[in-house]
Amino acid sequence: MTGRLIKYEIRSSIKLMAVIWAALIAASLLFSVSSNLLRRTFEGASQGANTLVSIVGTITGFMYISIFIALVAATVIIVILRFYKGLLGDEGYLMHTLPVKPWQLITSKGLVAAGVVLLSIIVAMVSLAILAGLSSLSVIPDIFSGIAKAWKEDPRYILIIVEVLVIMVLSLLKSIYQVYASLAIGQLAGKHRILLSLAAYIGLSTAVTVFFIILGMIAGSFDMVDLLSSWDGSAGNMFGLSQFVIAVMFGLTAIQLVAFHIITERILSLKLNLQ
Amino acid sequence: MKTGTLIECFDVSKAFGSKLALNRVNLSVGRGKVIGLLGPNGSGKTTFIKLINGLIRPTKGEILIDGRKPGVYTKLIISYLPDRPYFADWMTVKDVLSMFSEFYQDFDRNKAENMCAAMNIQPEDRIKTMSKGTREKVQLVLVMSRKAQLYLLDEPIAGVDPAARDYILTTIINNYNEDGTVIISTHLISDIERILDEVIFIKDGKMVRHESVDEIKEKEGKSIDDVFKDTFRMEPFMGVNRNDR
Amino acid sequence: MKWKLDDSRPIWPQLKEQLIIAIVAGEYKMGGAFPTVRELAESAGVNRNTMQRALSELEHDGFVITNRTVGRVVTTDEGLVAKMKESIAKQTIEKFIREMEAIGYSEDDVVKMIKKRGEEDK
Repeated sequence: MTGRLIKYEIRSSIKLMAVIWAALIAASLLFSVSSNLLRRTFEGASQGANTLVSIVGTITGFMYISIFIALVAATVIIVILRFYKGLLGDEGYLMHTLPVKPWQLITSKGLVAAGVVLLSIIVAMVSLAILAGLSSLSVIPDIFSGIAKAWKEDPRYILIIVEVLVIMVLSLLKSIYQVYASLAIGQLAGKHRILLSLAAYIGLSTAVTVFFIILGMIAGSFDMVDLLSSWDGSAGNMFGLSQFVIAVMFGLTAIQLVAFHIITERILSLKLNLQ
Repeated sequence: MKTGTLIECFDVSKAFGSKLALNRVNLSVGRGKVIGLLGPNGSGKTTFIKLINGLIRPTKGEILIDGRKPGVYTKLIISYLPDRPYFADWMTVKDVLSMFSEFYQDFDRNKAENMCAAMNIQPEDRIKTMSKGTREKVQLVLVMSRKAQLYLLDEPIAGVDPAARDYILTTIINNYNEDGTVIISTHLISDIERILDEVIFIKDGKMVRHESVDEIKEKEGKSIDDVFKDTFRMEPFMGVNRNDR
Repeated sequence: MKWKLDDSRPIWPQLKEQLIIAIVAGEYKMGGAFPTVRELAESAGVNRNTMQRALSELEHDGFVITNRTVGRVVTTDEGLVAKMKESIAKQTIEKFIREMEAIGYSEDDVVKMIKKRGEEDK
């Protein structure tokens, strides 16, 4: 059932996002063409032609930047709206009466939202690469040769890279769930739902900070800092240290992820307040 | 065919803040009935329906549907028509048909497609571009194309013209699963009383009457509409009597 | 068929009465097929439970018979139908006379008036 929910979630997010992704790539191509190709073609041409080229360059550049901003905004908005409209608005009457559990609804929304954000990031990077021109493509073989080199030197580097990527995705999902938890708290209010959502977001962020401070104090009292600084700098130990740090980061992110999910799930199960 | 009570409510109350929307409801509903949930606006009809289909939880008391608490199982056997449009606006008729057939095993896609075709609704039509009336009919078609144990229809005929009303009522009585029960909430009694087996009167969050239509008519010799008006009569303000001055 | 239902009385007895009249009037031929519950319920705008109850009563009184192979058919018992026809006729006359009496005519007056009407028509 979660799979079916994900399928519908993808279909409801993809249309708008696909347009913006395509637009950004198109704009970056245009800008790239006008700023590189046209300029080169008209090199040494008349003053008028040069002015024209720079005007076209300015326009396409402005276009690119606008669409880039639109992409960022659309990504954020779609993450929020797909949850807010889909589960807390009129669509909620359908979604919450489907024979599925609330956690499945939340998970399907969360996974698809994370996918949308990741794709937006990738599209943005591709568009930047296009702007940088063909020469930037050489980065790709560079990356692969770097990976190969690292693999040859010590395969454990690759493990670290993968772990860091996993933590990045996890923390993206965590951030999305924080938004969900805030929206779920916000809908408890009869009227000022958005306002309460904002307050909840700030409140949750503060709670996380306080939690970290307390954790830090506990760690301090156990002389964790001393323990860490006593680590000697040999290669094997550096790897051990990195694994330790990664494990801690993973744990902290996972705790937040689970906490935000539970908050959201409990509220949707027990205190759903569809208008 | 299943037997036994379909819905049981034990001392169910629901409060929103300090306002009591449902007040200690005890109710037992059987199978194979068409039941009118009748009450004026704001009497608690929608709250009751939302409690049964699990959109909200009771503040106190217990609800059992087919012997189970509201959850995934009860959602499988309940077909619910809310009093508002509930499809995402990007969807086409085909999308919503697929969605229903994927999530509900009791959904008869052929039936729904034929009913849409009979109304000249194309599978490619988008929900967003439909008129309010058409959208409501599509929702009704989907809800009635399920072979459910319980149909919960929240105000299906509010604010529609007489032709649409006839279409809606005919669709309901011709398509519901006869082993299942239909609960129709409304405040427009005269339009639907002929299709009802039982009525539940709800007033200020309390179930004040639950009886078979025939019994009421035999006892009181009046239409349900008239009985309803007597039950919910409000005294209009007639002005100050001169003698009282 | 055309239905005329009064919401202040239970619906099923009214359905039964009107179906009997239809049988007596020959609208449904004796021994012929009878419509299904579904069709009748749809035409009367009532739910199938209500129509089913009316039909069960008709069956109980012998006006329709459920046949395993051909479904529901109208009775072939001419005596039963004739008796019912007579009883409906009697009731109609009773009612008519009571209404005439209410506005001051005696039964004799009524008979005379009917005769006179018949002669005028010739």
